[in-house]
Amino acid sequence: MYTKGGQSIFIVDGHVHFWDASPQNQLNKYGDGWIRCFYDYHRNLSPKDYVWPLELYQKYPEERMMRDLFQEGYVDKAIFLPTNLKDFYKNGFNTIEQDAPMKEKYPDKFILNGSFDAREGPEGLKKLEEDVRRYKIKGVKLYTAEWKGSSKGWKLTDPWARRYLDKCAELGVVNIHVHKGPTIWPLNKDAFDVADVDDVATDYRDAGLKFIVEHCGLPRLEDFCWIAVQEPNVYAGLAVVMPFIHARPRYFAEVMSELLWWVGEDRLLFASDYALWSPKWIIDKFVEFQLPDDLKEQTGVNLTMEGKRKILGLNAAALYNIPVPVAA
Amino acid sequence: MIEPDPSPGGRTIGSGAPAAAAPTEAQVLAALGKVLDPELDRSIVDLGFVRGVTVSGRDVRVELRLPTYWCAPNFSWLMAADARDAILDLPGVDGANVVLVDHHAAGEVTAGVNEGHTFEKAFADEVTGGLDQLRRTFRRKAFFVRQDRLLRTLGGHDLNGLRLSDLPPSPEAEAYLAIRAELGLDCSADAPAVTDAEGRIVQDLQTHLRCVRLMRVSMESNTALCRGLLDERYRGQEAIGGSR
Repeated sequence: MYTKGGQSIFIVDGHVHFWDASPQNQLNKYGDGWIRCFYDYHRNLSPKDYVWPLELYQKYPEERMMRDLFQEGYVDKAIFLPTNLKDFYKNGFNTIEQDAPMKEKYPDKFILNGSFDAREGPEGLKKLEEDVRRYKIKGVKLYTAEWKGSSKGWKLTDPWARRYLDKCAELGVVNIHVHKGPTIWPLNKDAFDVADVDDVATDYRDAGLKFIVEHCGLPRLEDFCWIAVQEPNVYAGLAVVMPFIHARPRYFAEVMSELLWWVGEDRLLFASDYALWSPKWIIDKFVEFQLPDDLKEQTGVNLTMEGKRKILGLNAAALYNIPVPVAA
Repeated sequence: MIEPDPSPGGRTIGSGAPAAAAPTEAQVLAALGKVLDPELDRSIVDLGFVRGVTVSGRDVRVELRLPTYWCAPNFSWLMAADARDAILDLPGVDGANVVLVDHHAAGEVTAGVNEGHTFEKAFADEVTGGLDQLRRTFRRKAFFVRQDRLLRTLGGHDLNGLRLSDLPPSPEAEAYLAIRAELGLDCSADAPAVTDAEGRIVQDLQTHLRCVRLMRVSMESNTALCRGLLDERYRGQEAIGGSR
């Protein structure tokens, strides 16, 4: 809980990892390339005091994560979103199996999520069923740019993807987190395009599925906003956007004012993407943040304390049925 | 002095015509300055993507570096291929070698581009066609972003009925006119200034202005991120000719 000046804010971190990118777990040059790319995001957007050495960044201990999120970082509940990358890391980068012991040890602190990959056919479907039975998951994270053998990605509109989404609807896995990356099949198309989210959001609206687009479709913010404005079951995860608040505050303000106008404060979810960034400094700055007057005037939106409360916790609490203390 | 016959494999020089002198590094860089990052609509030189230019005789070698190891292979290809074409268009050049470095598809892109292959040949199993559609999509985005930048310079000017001849000269107006010409749109003095990418007059101006602003915010925040990542990745290693 964030507490200051007599007021409390309930914090849900909508996107965290407990990854292992250590050299021992790297399968090839892509595993090294992946974590170095993350590290540049981390170094570029974090305040100096929050920059880690690469070795720690590759693999961090449980105690560090608990401290950064829950002791220093104000977080009440953190949502695990796995990123498997089994073609890059021997045991995967951050799988549900890696996250599960943390959930078991700290059941009140974490929400565990699974994942699926439309290319895994009937076997993957069985694994999804097992994960639901075993871990009682209510959400999945889908990384459509994941490499698998010679394939460089997949789409939510692929026939098998629909079978998985049918299964999610059937089993009550209602929160579908979508993460786009630089590759997809076919490679001549824009891999970051979120048009497939548009299609399935319409098709699965009545089935109760919600689509949370991670880093709000960046670098295709405009395509994302045009979809979200039409599809009430599409949400913006604010990973990657939030840390702009320190290093690029003007861009942060511009992106936030666009999101507030197009998507609205009820469908934006705070996320640190830990360990990409640590939540403490982001939350400190966000609570104090005011939209500049010129942007308020141009866009006609404002970011109020009520809006910040929704973004920092209440919106995610509603998606995952997390009880919110009366004090918040 | 008239050079003797060109070396085998080089460009044929017309009989009796004097061969152009090999370009200087500065001339190569000036040519590369016109090559754009298709996503960001900015020069690859300005973005700091050009790491090295070497002119040996009539052969030019250029190294390209990108903000991340994972920059999308299709856009990376377009930049490398456009860079090679720009160099080969220079007088006095026989060979161009564009080398993409520190990238997950460095091998495929470098080999494919320098052998003069198409993207669909280089990535045969992973594509359904070429990159023309992708390029067009992003030139359209660039058109709207340039339009927004221009309109923002006009302050309280009434945009209804605005003609190209009403635009005061500015770098933003020049950039907008250039992309209008590139897209084959009407560039005459009487042409309407605020149009869609097909040159049609905008009907709902308020919605249009919302949309183009969003596109600009998207492209500019993306540019800021790319610049930051490149800085981080190559801290202490200066690009050639880059600027902020």
